[in-house]
Amino acid sequence: MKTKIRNILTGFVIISGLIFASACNKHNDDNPALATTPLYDTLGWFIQGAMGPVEGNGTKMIADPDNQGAQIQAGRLAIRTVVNKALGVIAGDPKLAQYFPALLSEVGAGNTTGLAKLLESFTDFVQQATSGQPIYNGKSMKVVHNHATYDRFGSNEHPTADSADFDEFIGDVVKAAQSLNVPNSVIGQLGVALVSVEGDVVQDK
Amino acid sequence: MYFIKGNTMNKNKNVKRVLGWMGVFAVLFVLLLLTHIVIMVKRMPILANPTLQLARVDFKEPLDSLSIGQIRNKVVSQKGVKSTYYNQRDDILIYTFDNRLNNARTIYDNAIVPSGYASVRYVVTAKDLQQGCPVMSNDSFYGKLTALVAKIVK
Repeated sequence: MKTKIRNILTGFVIISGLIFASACNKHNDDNPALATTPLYDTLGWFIQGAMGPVEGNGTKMIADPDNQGAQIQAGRLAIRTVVNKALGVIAGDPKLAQYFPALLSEVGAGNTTGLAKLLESFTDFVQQATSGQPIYNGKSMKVVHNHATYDRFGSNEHPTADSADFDEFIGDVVKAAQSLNVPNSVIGQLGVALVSVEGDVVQDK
Repeated sequence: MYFIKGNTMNKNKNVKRVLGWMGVFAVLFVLLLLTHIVIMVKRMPILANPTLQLARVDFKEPLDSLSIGQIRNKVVSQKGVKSTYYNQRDDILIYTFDNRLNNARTIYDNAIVPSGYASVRYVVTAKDLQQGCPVMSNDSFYGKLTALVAKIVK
């Protein structure tokens, strides 16, 4: 009887371990190779005051102004700053606000806001698109921009976004970047990176 | 008679044994889930400004630049308010604030209502929250459990 119990418990521990390992597997990339691109380096260079050589500034670790004692890649900080501003512009844009209700949802004092979560998720996505670092763990753009495959997006009447919505989104990001005095040449490159996902986002053709 | 009684006793014994094992597995499963969440939470990146909240006010009449400036100044002077943005095309004001220090209604009541301009504080409906951008829902059991564990271990 004791042997039986021991066998069953051992089996459970092994099976649990396997389930646990597979569930946590996607979070094991804590230290991916820090890939970079000229655009990512330029963004990192710009956020540090645009002084000296550009190369290597994207992945350079600097103090995070929003997390005391923490370090952040300069390129990521630049992206997060633009995304943060853009989310404010989007929240005030009635054409787009319907797609981002989490931004304006009110939470109790001290709780994490939708803004903070979206800021993290969007920053991951743009950082991956501009640097090549595999850090975005969210669902694919194609899946989440179709009501048929992701019911939190759109409705039965408007299951997918159209080009006008996407243009409005790009316009809001540009507006945010301009308000932060990001040079037009950099905004243009950032725009190219965002437009590269238009085919997946705009499915209402 | 004895045979039937013995059979029933055996059945009861088996049921008790199965229930006992189910209880053991349930406890082990809960322990496994909690350990998993603790490790996930520990690995989760620290969010920037996790308590920074956005709020929106829709004005029912167009505002001139002077009035916009006055209202923005008044809003930004409220406790916990970090920034403001005004969309002149649609007459919408957005402000960000630290939700540990203030809330959207108090800021609206203290800084915008006294301006005298007709306006409405934008409140997201529960229906709207069922849609939109992918963010893990805090209302789910897993979301609530994760938030609870995060509060304890972080």
